[in-house]
Amino acid sequence: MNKAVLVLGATSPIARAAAYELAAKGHSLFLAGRDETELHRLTQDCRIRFNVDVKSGCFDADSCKGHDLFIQYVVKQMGGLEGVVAAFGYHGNKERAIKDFDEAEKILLRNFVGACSLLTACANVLETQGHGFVVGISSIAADRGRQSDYVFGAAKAGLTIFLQGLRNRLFHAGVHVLTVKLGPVDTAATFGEEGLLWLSPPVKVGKKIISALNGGKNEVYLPWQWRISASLLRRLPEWIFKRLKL
Amino acid sequence: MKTARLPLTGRGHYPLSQCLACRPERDRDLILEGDEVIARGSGTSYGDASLNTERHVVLMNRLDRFLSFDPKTGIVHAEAGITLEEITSTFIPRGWCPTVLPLVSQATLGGCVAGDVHGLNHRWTGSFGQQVRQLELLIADGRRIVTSTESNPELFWATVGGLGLTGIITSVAFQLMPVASAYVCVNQRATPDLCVSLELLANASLNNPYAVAWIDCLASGKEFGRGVVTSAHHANESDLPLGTDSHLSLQRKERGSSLLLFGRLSPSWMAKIANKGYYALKAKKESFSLLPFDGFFFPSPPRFLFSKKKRRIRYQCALPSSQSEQGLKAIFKELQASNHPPSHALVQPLGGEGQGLLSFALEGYALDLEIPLVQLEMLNVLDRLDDLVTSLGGRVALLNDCRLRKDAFRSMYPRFSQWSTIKTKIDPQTRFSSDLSRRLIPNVIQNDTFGRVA
Repeated sequence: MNKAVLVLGATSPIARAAAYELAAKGHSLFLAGRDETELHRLTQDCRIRFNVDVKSGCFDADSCKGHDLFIQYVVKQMGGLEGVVAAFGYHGNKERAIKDFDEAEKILLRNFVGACSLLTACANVLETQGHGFVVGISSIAADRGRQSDYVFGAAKAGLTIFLQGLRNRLFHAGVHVLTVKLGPVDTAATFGEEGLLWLSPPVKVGKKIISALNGGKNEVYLPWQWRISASLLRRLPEWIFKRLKL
Repeated sequence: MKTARLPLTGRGHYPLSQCLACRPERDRDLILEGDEVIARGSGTSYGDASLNTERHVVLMNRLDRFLSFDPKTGIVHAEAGITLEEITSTFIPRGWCPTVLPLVSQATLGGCVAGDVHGLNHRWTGSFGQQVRQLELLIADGRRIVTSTESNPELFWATVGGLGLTGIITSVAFQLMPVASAYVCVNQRATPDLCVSLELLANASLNNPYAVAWIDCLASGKEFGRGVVTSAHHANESDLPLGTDSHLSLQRKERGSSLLLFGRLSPSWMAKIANKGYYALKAKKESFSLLPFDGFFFPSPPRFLFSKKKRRIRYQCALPSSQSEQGLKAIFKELQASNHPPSHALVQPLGGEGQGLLSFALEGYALDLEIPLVQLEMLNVLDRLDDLVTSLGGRVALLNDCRLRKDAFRSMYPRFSQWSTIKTKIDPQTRFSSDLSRRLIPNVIQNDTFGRVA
């Protein structure tokens, strides 16, 4: 059985950690992203560490028309496809996004439309073969529209529902879909920021994603504490929530 | 790149400095910011070599990719932030091991080169710098240059052991050595006094690459300098019990007994009992054991001994062969006379002087002490030890140092003026500086107007 996994957004530290966990288990990898130099470095690193077949290539999340061709190219390169990890995204500038729709459009297109387009192309391949997995990276921002980050939250919320539908559709084809709801992770974006709760290093998050996948989970909050916080937040009545400044 | 003001410290939690830290995630993010900057690996050294009070520190630990490996020659090329743990995890199962291994799994490749670290096999293999084939340096004007023993050797030997003061080491190509298994054959023998300890240590290092003596610093009278001499070599297939399969598989989670525990027990009566117990156990008979790789090289003492509130100083000095016994006797006596002596010391043989201009090793023996800093008065005791070491022609290691005086430093490192010439040429504006460089070579560095949190 071909064990190739496509990692979309492989240069992100979380995706890299998840990819390495998969490589350690013997999966061959196709690392996809925008930064060609970094992709090449990651490919070399992964090959040396895990002695697996690793290839890389660039893709553009925004140009949806090319996504089908890209997935076909990956399948041809790897001789098949066992799974896909969709870890690319664009958080953007929160303050600008709520005022300037150009920024909001970028966030919505890349995190939602682009992701759905690529996942559709992958799902079509996986459905025909009757086995495989999809991992979609969502966010705790998707749980409720908060005044500070609702554009990104909306994009991820849309993606979450899309993944839910995909899970429903692909279950009958023997393909598993995992939705990962990520809290803030210790990366360049959060470096030095104070007041962030439960900040996890990306290596730990990557390991937990793959162990949730192996455990057959449908949805996982990482770190786990966000599940409690999310369920409390969801239960808050709207007439209270709209008065908060979260 | 974002900069954050973070409190940084070493493994001894002394001193603590507020530094302006940035953390590049990938190689192309590594750009020099600020007028005064120093690189930092995992921060596993004890001193202030990677601290820069109110100035910039570049945290290198996310730059941890392997770039290439040649299985024919055993040369691996990797980014400087990679740790020894990652290197051994990747290569021991393939039958390769770093030639020089300091006993710190989280030490980074760049840190090993910058400190020109030595392992327990220094007499056989030399220091880490001697295994380096090439390194890439990000220098003060923002350019990257490649240097080796053939290409720009002056800069190479100023960078090896140069404590990051010539530039930021971005990647290193170094030599691995072949090993037959992920196990280590260890032999331990108790020795009744200092003379026998040193004699046995010298003999042990003739027959085994790894040799170290654990010396009980609290024993006095006839038992003064008693200890346990440990010698080891990588197990060959013939050393392994019959039927051992997967002899190269590295047992990362399972840590063996900690042979080379740093004494963290206090008060000293508890440490004395522990020392007595350990010695008595080893004195019963000579022991031969087969340990997994981590059990010997990366021992991990129980967590309760790692109290973050306890400050410790690491005192590492090298004494020439001819002065070793006399020097060690005087040092141990001085320590026993102090209020808070360390419970034990490690002594290992050293081969010749390293080629790094600020390298620590010289032909003789190294003494390694971890001293609890209960009272600052201990610093005066260490100043006296510095004078003693200087008078015997020895030197104190800089990588783990946090309190050496600049005049003592000048006497101990005669090749400093050569190093200083290269430093001035490669970094005329003194862009690379640290708390250590401002302490030891202030006339080369600008004024230190910021206090450091002690």
